[in-house]
Amino acid sequence: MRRAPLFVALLALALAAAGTEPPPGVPPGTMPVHKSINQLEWESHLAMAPLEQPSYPLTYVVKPEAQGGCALEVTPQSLTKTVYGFMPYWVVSDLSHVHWNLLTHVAYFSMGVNSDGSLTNQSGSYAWPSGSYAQALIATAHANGVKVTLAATLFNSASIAALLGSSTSRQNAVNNLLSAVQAGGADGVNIDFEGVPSAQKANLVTFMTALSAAFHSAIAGSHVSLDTPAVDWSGAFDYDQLALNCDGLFIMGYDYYWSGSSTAGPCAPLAGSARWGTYSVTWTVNDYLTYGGAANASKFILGVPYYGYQWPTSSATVPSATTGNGTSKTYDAAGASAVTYGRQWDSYGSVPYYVNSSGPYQCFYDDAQSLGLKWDLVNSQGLGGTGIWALNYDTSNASLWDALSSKFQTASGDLTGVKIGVDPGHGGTDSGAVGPTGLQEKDVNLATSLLLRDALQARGASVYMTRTTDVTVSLTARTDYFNSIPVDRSESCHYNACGNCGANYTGVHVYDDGTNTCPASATSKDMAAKTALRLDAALSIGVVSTNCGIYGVHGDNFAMVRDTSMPAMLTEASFIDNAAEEQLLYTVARRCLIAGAIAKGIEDHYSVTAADPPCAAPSPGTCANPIAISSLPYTDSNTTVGKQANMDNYSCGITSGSEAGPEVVYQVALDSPGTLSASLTGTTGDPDVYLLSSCNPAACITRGDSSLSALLQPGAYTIVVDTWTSSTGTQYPGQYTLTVAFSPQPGDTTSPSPVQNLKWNASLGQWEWDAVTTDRLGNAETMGHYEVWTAQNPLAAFTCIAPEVTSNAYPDPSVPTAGTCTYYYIHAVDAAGNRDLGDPMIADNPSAVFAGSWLTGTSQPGHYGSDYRYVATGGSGANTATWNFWPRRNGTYEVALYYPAASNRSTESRFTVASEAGSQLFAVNQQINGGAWFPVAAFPFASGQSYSVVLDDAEPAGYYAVADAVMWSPSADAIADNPQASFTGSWSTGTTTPGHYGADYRFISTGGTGANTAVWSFTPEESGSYNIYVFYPSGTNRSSAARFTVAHAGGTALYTVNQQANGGSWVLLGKRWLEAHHGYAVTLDDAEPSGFVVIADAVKWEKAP
Amino acid sequence: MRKTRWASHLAALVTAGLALALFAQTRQEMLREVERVPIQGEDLKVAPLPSPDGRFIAFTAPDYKGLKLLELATGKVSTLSEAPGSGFRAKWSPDGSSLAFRSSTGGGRPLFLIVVAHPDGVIESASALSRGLSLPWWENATLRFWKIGGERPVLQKAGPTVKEGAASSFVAATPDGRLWRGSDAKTLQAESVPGKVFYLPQLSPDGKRFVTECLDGHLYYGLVSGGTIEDLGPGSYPSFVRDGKALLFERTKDDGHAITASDIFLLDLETGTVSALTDTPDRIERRPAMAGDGHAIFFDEGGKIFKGWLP
Repeated sequence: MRRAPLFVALLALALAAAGTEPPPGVPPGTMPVHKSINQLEWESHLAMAPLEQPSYPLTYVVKPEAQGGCALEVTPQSLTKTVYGFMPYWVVSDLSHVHWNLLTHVAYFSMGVNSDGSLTNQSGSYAWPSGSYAQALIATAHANGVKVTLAATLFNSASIAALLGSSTSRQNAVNNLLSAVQAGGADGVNIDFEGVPSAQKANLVTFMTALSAAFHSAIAGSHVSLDTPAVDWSGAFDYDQLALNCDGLFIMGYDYYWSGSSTAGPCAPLAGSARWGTYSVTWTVNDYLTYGGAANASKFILGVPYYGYQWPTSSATVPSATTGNGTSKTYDAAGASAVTYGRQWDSYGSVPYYVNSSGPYQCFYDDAQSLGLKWDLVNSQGLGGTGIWALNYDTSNASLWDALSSKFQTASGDLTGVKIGVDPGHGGTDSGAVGPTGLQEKDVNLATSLLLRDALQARGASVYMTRTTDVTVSLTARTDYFNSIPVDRSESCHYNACGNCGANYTGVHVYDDGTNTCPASATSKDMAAKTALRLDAALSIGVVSTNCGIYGVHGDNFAMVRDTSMPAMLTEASFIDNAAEEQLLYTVARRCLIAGAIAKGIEDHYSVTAADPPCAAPSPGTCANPIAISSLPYTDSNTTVGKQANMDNYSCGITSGSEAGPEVVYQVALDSPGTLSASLTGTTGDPDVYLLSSCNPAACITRGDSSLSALLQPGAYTIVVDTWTSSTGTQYPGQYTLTVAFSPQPGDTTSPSPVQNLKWNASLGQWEWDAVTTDRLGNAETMGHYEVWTAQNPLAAFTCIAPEVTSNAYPDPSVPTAGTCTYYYIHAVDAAGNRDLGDPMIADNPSAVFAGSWLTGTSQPGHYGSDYRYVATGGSGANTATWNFWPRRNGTYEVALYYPAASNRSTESRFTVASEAGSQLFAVNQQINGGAWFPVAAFPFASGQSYSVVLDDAEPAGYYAVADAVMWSPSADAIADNPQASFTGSWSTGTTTPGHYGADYRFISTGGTGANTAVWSFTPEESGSYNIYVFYPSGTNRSSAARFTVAHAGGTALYTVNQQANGGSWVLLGKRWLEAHHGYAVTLDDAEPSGFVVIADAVKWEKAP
Repeated sequence: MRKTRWASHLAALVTAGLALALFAQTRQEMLREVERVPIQGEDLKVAPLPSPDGRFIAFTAPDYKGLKLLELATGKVSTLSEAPGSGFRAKWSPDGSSLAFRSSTGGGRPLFLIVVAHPDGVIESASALSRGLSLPWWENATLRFWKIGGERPVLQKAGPTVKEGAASSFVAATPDGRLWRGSDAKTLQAESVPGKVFYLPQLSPDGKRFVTECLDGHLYYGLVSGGTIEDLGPGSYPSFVRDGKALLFERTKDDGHAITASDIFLLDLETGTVSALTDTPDRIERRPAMAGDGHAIFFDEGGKIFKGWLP
């Protein structure tokens, strides 16, 4: 029995503890009298009822003669809890969005109850039960096995008192409600009396007890419920007695912050917090369990809001005082606004919100995430179920249904009744991709699909396939065949390829229309996400996650996910043109592993307990399924007992006996050079350890009886723990603990200092220079050799005439020769192969070329050299200072300026820098940063070319432009613009889209074979890790998955870039190890999905710290 | 300008490899004055379906979710349905007073409903929610659809209850690809053609002939009363036009992932002449439908609706 005095005491304690204003939104010292959302919306729609004719959009209006005539085709209910949805008459016209299989009860809202117990009906199409909408609701709900109740409302305290206080009126109400429900062939009643006076506490129990008795007597299995408040401010609700005498109490677990709140806040905060106060959904549930009795928990139905409130607020900051009443927003409306203004998460209330700063307005609402937390509370507290205010507030958005399903729908055990379309990609004349040894994708697609079919059929699904043999089937036929049946889900089975780039990862595709908004249905995304997780777990080759923001899921404009009318996905499980993967895909085991993973993903999607497919999955620890060493150091205690015995006759193997016993196979990938060591301890049966460059005994690098060690370059390697077989054929498997460690040995990754003091020794007839003893950072250097480069013209490209000079002298009988002029340049190369970058080139104003009248200055400190030149601004640009530069090596140079700063200098002095990227104008504020080298930017330059930096006088008048010195500093980095790239195929040149690097960019249509390529090349002077970037002008017609293949020391890696975004900046592809003096390329091709273009602009390799 | 671009392709028509098996003659008869039908909204629009009286265009989204109606005179767009699948192969009644379509409840094991919408806004369900419902079609003013009963299609009587109905002629393809045709829906037998999986058969307006699509990418044609099923060659999305004397259809090409080309063709069933109405390698014209006047063709391309005129 609930005791009001105790409640008051607890309330006082709670308020004291919170230390904030009393109940949310309620002025201190007052009792809350706010109206519930039910009442507010009921009142706001009073003017709507007279409508006779439906208006757009409407669907599923059952003809009047349909009443009671629907044949029952009941969806099997698999709900673990009561799910009680209110269907207000103002949204009843469209039943198409209701997922009936996720409801147990639907309450038609509402029939008015008067103080004398008479009823006030809706009118016209909304009338109960004769109106066409009510009839449609009853018929459709019953057709789906959902009970229909009639909500009865009274929102006036005086009328409630009159009704409940009169036994005659109470009985009238009981009789009238029973008659109304029976007239509709419905299943129960829901009482929504709001503003019940505390004096009517006992009478309310009496009324509900009589109502329940009457209904249970007259309608077998009927359901009688009462709507009860989140906080019983008036002490009018005797929770435990009401629970005992009703079938359910619908707890209105919302309106904690309501329309009239003085502070904008969560409509339904999950838990109490310092920010939002004590009262919360958790507080309410605990209150009901305390005063309603834990034994009655199954009677408590926690109502949740499918709406929120948007208030005008005094500021955009949360929390904020309101400046007016809040407006209720359905989930559909609030969710859409959250997309516009940005969905944010309030961790205090565990609800989403958004802020519209123009106003400002703040809206707190609930979505799948916050509702899921509340539904977790329903499950953890053992409540009877949940309720929804109100159905159709989510319209066609399925995310709330999906969340509801995930919390309350049990696995039905299998996929019986589910129709799944399985599409083996390609086929017949279309081979799809082809592996390095000729394995055709169409064949693997089919084989995998047949295994998938078997796996799904074994779980009870009906499977329809677009082909079961090697025949050509158009995409149009595939999609329309699935649409015609229609299947409930479709999966198109494919494998990926990248032109033998070496990549291998998993991707699951859903529909994207090219906007990168990934508009595929939430159901499609759920299936794809779960399948990606299963594939990732099975294959461990990594996944691609791009424009959908879902792990392993990629949005694409593929026909099989676009032109299908049901939730659809397309799997690219792995790369068939990856040499190692191709070998695996030859095996049934690999195909079965993939088919099984896809089947399990679909089973997860259906909340069906996943099962292994009927084909045998490859054992872990085999070449088909090696144990991945994901991080180092690594330890694994294992055994070869019972393992497969496929490996023997290693190329570096033992000289006597054999390793024909069972083995365990591991795979490890190295990102940088270093020493890999592997050791075995705790062994029985004498296992040995082998290191292979691939999972092939012929690719053995080294072995050891109990340990091995090898210096390796970046790449993927196989480690095998193998056991032996006696000459009589007896196997000797055993246990072991494998420990693998890696010691990065990047070695010397810094180039030597440039050669100094080059001079001709006439007596010895040789060039001599100071021996290089330090690297460019000043550390001691171990030198390798020197290179002698010459040119007949300093503007021409230099040629190496002596590549391996081992001392700091070079005899040259041809020098000097009278009448000729030869230019010499000596490169230093250290023992690790790093070559010096050269000296910075500095051009002071005496070496600059001046046009016009420039004055010479010396008075302003902070100039380079003995003086500087200056000119008054405001000219036509005809007065110029030009510094020239002839680089001796191809590469990147950082351009910097030196000038004395002063307040009479121009703030936008015009320096034009010429490089391989064209001429670019920079405005430099010469009032600051004087007396030091002021960096402009890094640019690509080519040996044999002449470049300049030009300062002119066309700045705004009234200042001086100062010409002093320019420096070009060589860099280990490299930038290659499209003029330095090589192109195959017909690439067009573009200049119109801003945000390109240099003067222009190139582009080509997608949908090709990959034969059309743009290739940027780079030969680093220093070994090391490099961050590799691309630059492009973005646009909506660009590919969302431009394919950049990056060559590196460990092979190649494919990166896909969304060229619709992030244009005009350097976009990082990744960090990769490059070796000095090895050539590397970044290649862009045209094999992306058709309908777009890819942009070839610029690439940068930047040495990583 | 759009008209100019289409006209520029007139001289580029290539018919090699497109000849029908049965109707060998193919000629160029390009659509004229092709222009975009302005429809409000940035969403992609496909599968235009003009009403027989020319007042409305029904259309849907690429994944056939929802069905909308454009009133050509006013430009007003109304939403008939937002349900999954409701935009797939909707059918106008011959008098243009109703548009029938199959709608889905969505979810893991969805139920389906046959819906009849009237342009004036009244929308009715013509069936109970059920599984295995076919797409609807019209036999004159009577709405038809079937559902799977056991392994056979059972013709349904339109209405809220599940009842067997009767029709003067009947053609259906069950999901196993078998074809069912005849004048008595209760006694007809399945026909299996080795290697052929038929789907979406359609009756001619007089109910005597049918055309069906097949997973081999060809269209097939025959009499409802029985006899040989003729291979019409590659094609999809067929519709009987000109009182059943011609077939309007599309031919698509793809690379296994995306549709790379599609053009529209008209087959004169009396002369066997095939007219290529478009030949635009840079455009993907799809899902053609003829207006009630027999002269205008509507189709979608790039998520937009276009209209062109027969020569």
